[in-house]
Amino acid sequence: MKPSKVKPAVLGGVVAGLLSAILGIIPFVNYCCCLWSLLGGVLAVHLYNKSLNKEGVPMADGAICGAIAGGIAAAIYVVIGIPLNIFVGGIIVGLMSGLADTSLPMGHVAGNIVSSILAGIVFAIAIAVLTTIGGVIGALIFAPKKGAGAPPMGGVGGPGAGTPAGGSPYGAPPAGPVGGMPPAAPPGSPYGAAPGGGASPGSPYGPPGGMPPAAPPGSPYGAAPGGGASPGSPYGPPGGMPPAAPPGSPYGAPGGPVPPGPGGGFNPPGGYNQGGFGR
Amino acid sequence: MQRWADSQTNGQQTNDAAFRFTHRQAAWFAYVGMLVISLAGVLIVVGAPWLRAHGFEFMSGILYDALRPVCHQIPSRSFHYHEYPWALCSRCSALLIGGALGLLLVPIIRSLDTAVPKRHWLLIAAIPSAVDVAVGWLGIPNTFLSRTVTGGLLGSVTAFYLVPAMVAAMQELLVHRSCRQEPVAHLGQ
Repeated sequence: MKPSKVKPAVLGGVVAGLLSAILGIIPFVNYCCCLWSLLGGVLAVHLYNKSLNKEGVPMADGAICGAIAGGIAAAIYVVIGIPLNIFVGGIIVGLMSGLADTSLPMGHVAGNIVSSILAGIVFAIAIAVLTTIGGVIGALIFAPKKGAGAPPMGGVGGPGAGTPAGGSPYGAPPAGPVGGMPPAAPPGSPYGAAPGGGASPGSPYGPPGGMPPAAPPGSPYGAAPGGGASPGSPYGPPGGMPPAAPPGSPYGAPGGPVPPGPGGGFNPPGGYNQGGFGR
Repeated sequence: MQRWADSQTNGQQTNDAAFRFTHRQAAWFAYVGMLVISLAGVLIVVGAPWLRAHGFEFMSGILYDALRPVCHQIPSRSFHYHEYPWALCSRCSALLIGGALGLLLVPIIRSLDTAVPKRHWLLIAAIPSAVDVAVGWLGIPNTFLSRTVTGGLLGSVTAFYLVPAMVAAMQELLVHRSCRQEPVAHLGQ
């Protein structure tokens, strides 16, 4: 089970939010505000990578980490940074008006406060976006090692870049029931699939031995013998799914050729999880 | 197998009525989102002086204030609209506009679902900007043009990294994870 992303994201968000809020009032240092937000996203991904024992962070996880951190950083900036800016701005205006021996009209002060709040909200949104980008940059830095469950980097339908030719760009299939669902369920199990993909004896989901063996030709839904779709069906080739993916297929090779069952049924031969998206 | 894969990628519903993002839809979703955010940033930068020039002082002030924490906003180092400076300096503006232009170029030069380029190109693109900043800190004067060109170069190259990264992230989130969850849902019924 993967560790939670929330803790590293909260830490990254707190760092980004506090640095943006507190250092934002210091001249010259505040020009690095972009950097604080980006660093917060990268830090969140770095911490998440550490909790994964440095296996590497997929792009999606990096983006999620960065987005959570960005939301927290934006909230911290709204809560701390905006009042701080108004307070410091008020002090500066007070000092300047004291030096000039003039007093500003109340409407002007109120307008400044409203302007500061709205500007702070716009900047908080910018912080959230930048921290998310920081998370993506972090995922680029802490990318998984090639061939070890690497995230999809390749194009649609093409071999993934950085993966061995013919290998799945989505990484190795899971260690579970490779090649699909377990071939047989205990008799009487209401859920299991019988060999060949049919429902188990006693299953409420289909007759023992599987679903009716063949659908009328041209039926868009029926299963042909062997678990494949019927001729003309858009859901799979007649005769079942082929046993092996072609080299370079984005879905990878199936976990092993499973002989097509006699009855068709819910699961295609090889199952849904054909050595594809598992890590 | 190929037909099954095509049905997964080309937007046909597979075995249920639930809507599922395809790779292409997820890629465009990520790309359009990035483009909108980027153009919104450009609008804020250019909109601040435009609003001030047209008498919307309050709104203009909000936009200037919003970007004050990220940039020095020195007028002599900024582009101007009429006599009003943009809300970011020339380097920051070039970064932002270069990023937006890079975003527009990515689907033309490469494709949305292409691989992330090798990291050294990003470092190479960052070198001129880093040198320009370092030169400025050392007291050697850099020029308006050098700040703009180096910033624009870095921004446009960065887009070529962010687009595939965000596209991969969105595809992983919207397409692959929903596919991975399917067997679990069936087992759990």
